[in-house]
Amino acid sequence: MLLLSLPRGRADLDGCACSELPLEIIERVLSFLPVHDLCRFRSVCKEWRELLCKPSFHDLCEVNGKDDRYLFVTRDLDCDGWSVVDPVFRRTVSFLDLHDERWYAIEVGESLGGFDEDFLETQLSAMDNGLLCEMSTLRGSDDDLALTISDPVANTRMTLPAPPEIFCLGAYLPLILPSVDIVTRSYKVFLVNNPREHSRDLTRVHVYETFSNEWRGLSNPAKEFEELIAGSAVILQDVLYIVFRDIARWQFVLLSYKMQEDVWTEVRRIICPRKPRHPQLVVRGHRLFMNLWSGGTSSLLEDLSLFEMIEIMPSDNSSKTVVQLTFAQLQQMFSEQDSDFYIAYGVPRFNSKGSYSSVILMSSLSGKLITFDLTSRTVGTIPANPFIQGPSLETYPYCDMYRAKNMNLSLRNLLSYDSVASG
Amino acid sequence: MHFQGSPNMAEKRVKLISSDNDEFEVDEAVAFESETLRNMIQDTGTNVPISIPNVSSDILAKVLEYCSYHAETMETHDDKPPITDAQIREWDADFVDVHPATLYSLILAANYLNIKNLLDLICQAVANNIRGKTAVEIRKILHIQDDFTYEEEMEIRRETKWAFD
Repeated sequence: MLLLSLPRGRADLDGCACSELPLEIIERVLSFLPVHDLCRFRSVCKEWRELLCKPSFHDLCEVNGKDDRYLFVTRDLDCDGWSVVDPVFRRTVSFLDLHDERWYAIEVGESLGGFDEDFLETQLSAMDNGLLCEMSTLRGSDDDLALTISDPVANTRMTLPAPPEIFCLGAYLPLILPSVDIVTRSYKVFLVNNPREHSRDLTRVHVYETFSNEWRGLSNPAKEFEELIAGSAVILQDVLYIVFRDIARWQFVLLSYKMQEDVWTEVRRIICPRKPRHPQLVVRGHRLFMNLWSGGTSSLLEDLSLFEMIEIMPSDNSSKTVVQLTFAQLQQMFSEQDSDFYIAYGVPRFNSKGSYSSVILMSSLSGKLITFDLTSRTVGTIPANPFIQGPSLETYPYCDMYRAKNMNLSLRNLLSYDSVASG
Repeated sequence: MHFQGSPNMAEKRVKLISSDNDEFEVDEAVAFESETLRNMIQDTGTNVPISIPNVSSDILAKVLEYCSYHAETMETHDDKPPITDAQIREWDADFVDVHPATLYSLILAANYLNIKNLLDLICQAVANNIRGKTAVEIRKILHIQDDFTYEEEMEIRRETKWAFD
């Protein structure tokens, strides 16, 4: 039996003790801080600035600081049936810190290499791991397509080599997903070409990798005669997850892809409602979530009557419901009358003990963000983005669609692959 | 008491002496959570008490409380369900819910004793304490001298203007 006497209330335990912390511990502490704090802390002293620029510190940050806390928000405009990314959101890259509910905005300086910004339309944009990938065309031109990648924090941008193919003019736009590889300090861009309508194309996936500076094809997710339309993709622990709409079977299917093995595996299938709204994958703090819109199939009105967020456990593909809300409840929460309204993005928040505490939801029509507390079931509002003006209805008379994605930002200049690899 | 660890009688016990000469006795498995102690025990065995000259008894008691809980989570019992990750997260969150000064002493102890998971846990808690502060506040809390010229500081602010607004 162990007996202890615990001396209490020692006089030397004052707040000053921390000034004696060795630099290696300071480094460890700082690696848990979010990027916006670290950018600011470069100005604390020369020793800290040096520390915060070291590639080995960036490595530590990427291991310790990964909780995907920044919600990047953008808007697509429907311009005569032609979807473009709102130029306002391209000039100002803005994101919400999900912890502190504070907005940050980065003004993107340079114009896109070789193109005059005024003549350019960006059709697709996707952001992940602090990298923004855009697919742009010249107005009215079918040929001049370019994929660019930028790191807004480091304010750098470059044009990627032309991919082998882009199916851009059909009903289904391609899907792009940038991803940072922590181990090799390089990045990848996945490009999923959805089949053109009434074609016998198969969905094709290519990946661009920095070390080869080339695109290469991956094995095909679809089997012969299978028409799979990719709608949402994420990377979690080196596994690529894509949720497809399986047109023939009237289902959604979630597939996972392991880079090492070049094999697609089915994770789960979901019955498609009559008026399908694509499920959406979300990663938060190394955990995988999916937002689903489903409901009864008795009438068109009921088709999308239920919004559900689930967590998927990759170990055994089981799932757990985070929240379920009816369309009527959502309309009330957002004070929204429009029947075209839906949840453009939903992301969970955890308490310090790792269980779900609330969810943050975004309206597709207004971009309005709310929090929904899962215990008290109360609604809270998140301040509106102060950097972006309201909908640009005069310029674009059609529907605006907000989009969002939560992710980590990085301190390192993600595009200077050579310098980080040798550093 | 609470960090007695496994009831297994065959288990070796280790004696530890804190900086203020209090003696602690724990199971070897508990001491093995610390890389430093593991190396010492492997060198000198468990017969000699191990003195830990730079860790006071109250802090050592806290550290051993952590080690014995985490050593216990590794064990499997036929009669008890295994401790889940969620339970461990919850226990850890309560463990670091202490005065900041205690955290700073714990950090030095965890670093000296080389207990990586504890060190990470406390570093994260300290990081939460300095989150959202300005550079001026940080210098004050950590007693750091500002060694930038005005121009240098303005240049750093320009590099990532968005984080300062």
